[in-house]
Amino acid sequence: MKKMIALLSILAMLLTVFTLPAMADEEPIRIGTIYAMSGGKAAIGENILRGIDFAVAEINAKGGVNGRMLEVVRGDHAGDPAQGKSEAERLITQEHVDVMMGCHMSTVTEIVAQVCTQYGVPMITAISTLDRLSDADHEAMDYFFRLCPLNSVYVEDMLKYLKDSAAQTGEEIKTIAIFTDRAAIGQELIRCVELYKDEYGFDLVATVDYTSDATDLSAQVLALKQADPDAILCDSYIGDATLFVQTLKAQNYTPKMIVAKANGFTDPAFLANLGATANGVASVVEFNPDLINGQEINEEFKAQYGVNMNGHSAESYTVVWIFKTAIEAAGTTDGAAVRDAIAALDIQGEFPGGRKIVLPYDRIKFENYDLAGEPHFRDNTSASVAIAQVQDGEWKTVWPFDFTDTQILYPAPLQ
Amino acid sequence: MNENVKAVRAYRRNLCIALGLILLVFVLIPVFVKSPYVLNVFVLVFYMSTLSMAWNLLGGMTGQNSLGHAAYMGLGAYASCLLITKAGANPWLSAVFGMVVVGLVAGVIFYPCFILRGPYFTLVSIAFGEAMRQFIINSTFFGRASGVGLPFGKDSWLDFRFMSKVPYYYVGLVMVILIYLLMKKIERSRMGYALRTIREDEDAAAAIGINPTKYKIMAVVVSAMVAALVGFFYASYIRYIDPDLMVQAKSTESVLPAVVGGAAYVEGPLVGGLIMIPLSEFLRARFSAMLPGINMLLYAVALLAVIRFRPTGILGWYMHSRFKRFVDEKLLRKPPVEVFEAVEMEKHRGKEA
Repeated sequence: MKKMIALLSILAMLLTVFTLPAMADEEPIRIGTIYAMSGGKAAIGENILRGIDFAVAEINAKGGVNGRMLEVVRGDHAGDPAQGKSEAERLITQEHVDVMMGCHMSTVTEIVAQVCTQYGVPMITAISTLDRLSDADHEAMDYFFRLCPLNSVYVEDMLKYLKDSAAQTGEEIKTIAIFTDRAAIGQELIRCVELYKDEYGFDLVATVDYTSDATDLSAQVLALKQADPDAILCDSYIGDATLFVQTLKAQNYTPKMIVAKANGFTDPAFLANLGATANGVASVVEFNPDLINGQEINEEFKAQYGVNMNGHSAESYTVVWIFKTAIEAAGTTDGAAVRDAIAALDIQGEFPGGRKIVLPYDRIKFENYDLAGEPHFRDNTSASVAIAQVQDGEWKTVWPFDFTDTQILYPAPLQ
Repeated sequence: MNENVKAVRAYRRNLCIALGLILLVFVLIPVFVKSPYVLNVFVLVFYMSTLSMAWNLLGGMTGQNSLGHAAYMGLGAYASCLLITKAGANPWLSAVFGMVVVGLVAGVIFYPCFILRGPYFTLVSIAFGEAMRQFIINSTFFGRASGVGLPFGKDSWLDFRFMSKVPYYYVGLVMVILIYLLMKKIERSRMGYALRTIREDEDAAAAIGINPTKYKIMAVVVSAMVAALVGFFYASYIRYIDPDLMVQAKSTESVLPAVVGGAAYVEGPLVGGLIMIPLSEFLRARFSAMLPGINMLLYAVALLAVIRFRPTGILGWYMHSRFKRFVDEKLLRKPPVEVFEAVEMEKHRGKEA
C-alpha cells in the first residue's frame, strides 16, 4: 500500500509539471526575465532584478500601463545556455509573457533572443554587451533590441578617458597593459583594445591573462610589474578582481592608473571586500549615484534595498520604462505592434510620465548603423558610459569631465 | 512440452506488445502535446538519457567510474561544429566525423591510463575533462572562451535545423532507441560478459583469458563516441557551444540518470532520465522564482533520498518488487523460470539430434 502511495505521488508530481503552469490570470502585462538567480553569477542577477522590481512598483503605483498592472515572471538560467533556452520557452509558451528581458551573459542572451524572435516576443537586453549580438549575422533577429553600449564602445571610452586624463594629471599615458580573464569577457577586452589602440596612439606592452576563479595571481602581477605600463586595463569577475588588488598590494606594486571594464570591479562586494585598498581604482560605470540625473532615484532605491543603485539596476530599470512607453504607444501587447513601437521610439531627456533618463546619456533610440565598418542592428546608438574612481571608499564619477566636478586621483594610492 | 513453448511465445508476444505500446505513446506525444516547452523537456530527456547510457557502459557495466563524459560530449560538439562552420560540411557527416575523432582521442589518451584502477581512473577522467576544457579556452582555433555558434536559417533536414521542436523530438527519440539497442546488444555479447567480469574481478577476468585492457579500451571508445553523438545533437539543438559545456558539473549530470535509474541495468539511464529531468525542470519552474536556488536544494534532497533508500536505483528496486511480479504474472503472463529452462533444454536437444 505504501509503495502504491509513493508511486501515485510521483505520478501526481509529474502530472503537475505539465498542468499547473496553465492556470494564470491573463489580466496583467507580463514581463519575462531570464537571469542567473542561482549559481556563481547570482549576485549580478539580484542587482538586475532589483532594478526591474523598482520600476514595476513605480509604474504600477501610477496606474500601470494602459490601465493594466505590470507583472514580472522570473526565469533562472543559472549561467547555462541550454537552461536559458528551456526557460525562454517556458516563459513564452507556458507563462505567456508579453515581453522579455535578459540576460546577463551575452551567450545566453543570444540563444534567448533567437527563441523570442521565433515566437514574436519583443526582447530588450539591458546589459548584454557582446558586439556580435547585433551584427550582420543577427540581422534577422528582429524582435531583439539592446539598450546598453557595446563592448567596443566601453573600451573606446576607456581609452578616451586615458587620453583625456592628461589634462588633469599633467602626465600623458603612453603604454598600456591588459590584465584579464581568459573567459569570454577577457577575449572581448583584448579584441577591442587591439581594435582601437593605434587610433588613440597607445603602445600595448603586455597582455596578461588568468583562468577564472584564480587562487593565486602573483605570477600575473609580477609580469605586469615587469612590463611597467602607464595604465592597466582590466576586466574580471568579482572574486578575481578582489584577489588582483590584494595581490598588487602584497607585491607592493602600485600602477599609476587602473581602469576596469565594470563587471567584478563595480560589484557592491568589491568595495566591501577591499575597503581603502581599492582607492584609486577606476572603472567604466553605466550609472553612478553622483550622476546629476541619478541622485534622486538612488536615494529612493537605497531606502528600499539598503544598497546603491548600480549600473545593472539602472539599466534594467530603464528597460522596464521603455517597455511601458512602447506598449502605450502601440496601444496593445501584440508582439509585432510592440516591436514596431520599440523600433520607432525616440526618448529625449525623459520618459513620458516618468523620470529623466537616469543613465549618462540623454536619448534612447534603437537604430541600424555602422560600427568600425561593420553594420549593426537595433542598438541604442546614444548609449555611452562614464568612468568612476574609488575615492575615500566610494565610487565618484570622474569622466566625462562635464558630468562631474570630481578630480582624478593620480597616481592611484591603493590605500 | 508444447504447452511450455506456447507459454514462452505468448509471454514474448505480450512483452513485444507492451514495449510497442510504450513506443507508440512516445511516437504520438508530439501529435497531442503542442506545447514547445513540454516537447523541449522531452528532448532534454532524450539526449541526457543517451549521454547517461554512454556513461553507464563504462560506469555501470565495466565498473570504471568516469567523471569526464561532458568532455567527450563537448569535444564531439566542437569537432562537428567546427567542421560545419569552417569547412561548410554537411552536419550529418560532421556528426560521424565528431564521433570518430572523439573515439580516437579517448582511445589514445586512455590506453596508458588503464593500468590505473578504481578511483585513480576516476581522477584521470576528471583531469581529462578539465584539460580538454582548458585546451579549448586557450586555443584560438577553437574560438577560445567565446564559443562557436551554428548558422541560423531556414528549416532543413539536410542542415538538421528547425524552428519546431518536433523534428528534434523524433531525431532524439530515434537516437535513444538506437543507442539503447546498441547497449542491449553489447550487454548480451561476448564483450558485455567480459566487461561485467572485469567489473566484478579484474584479476579473475585476466586469469580466465579475458584481456581487461582490450575490453576497457573498447568500452571507453564506444562510450566516448556515443557521448560525441550527443554533443552533436546538443549543438544542433541549442545552436551554440562554449567551453562551459565541459565543466565538471556537466559530467556529474551525465551520471545522475544512470545512478537514479539503476546503473546495473541498461534501462537504468532511461528510467532515471525520464524521472530526474522533468523533476529538475519542474522544480525550477515552480520554485526558482520564489527562492532562488531552492530548486537545486530540492533536487539534491530527491537525489539523496533515492541513494539512501534505493541504493540500487529505481530499477534495482523494481526488479525485486511485488509490482514487477504483478506486471510479469498478471499483465505479461510470464511463465515460471522452469518453463524457460525446459524450453531451452528442448531446443538444445533438438540441435543435438
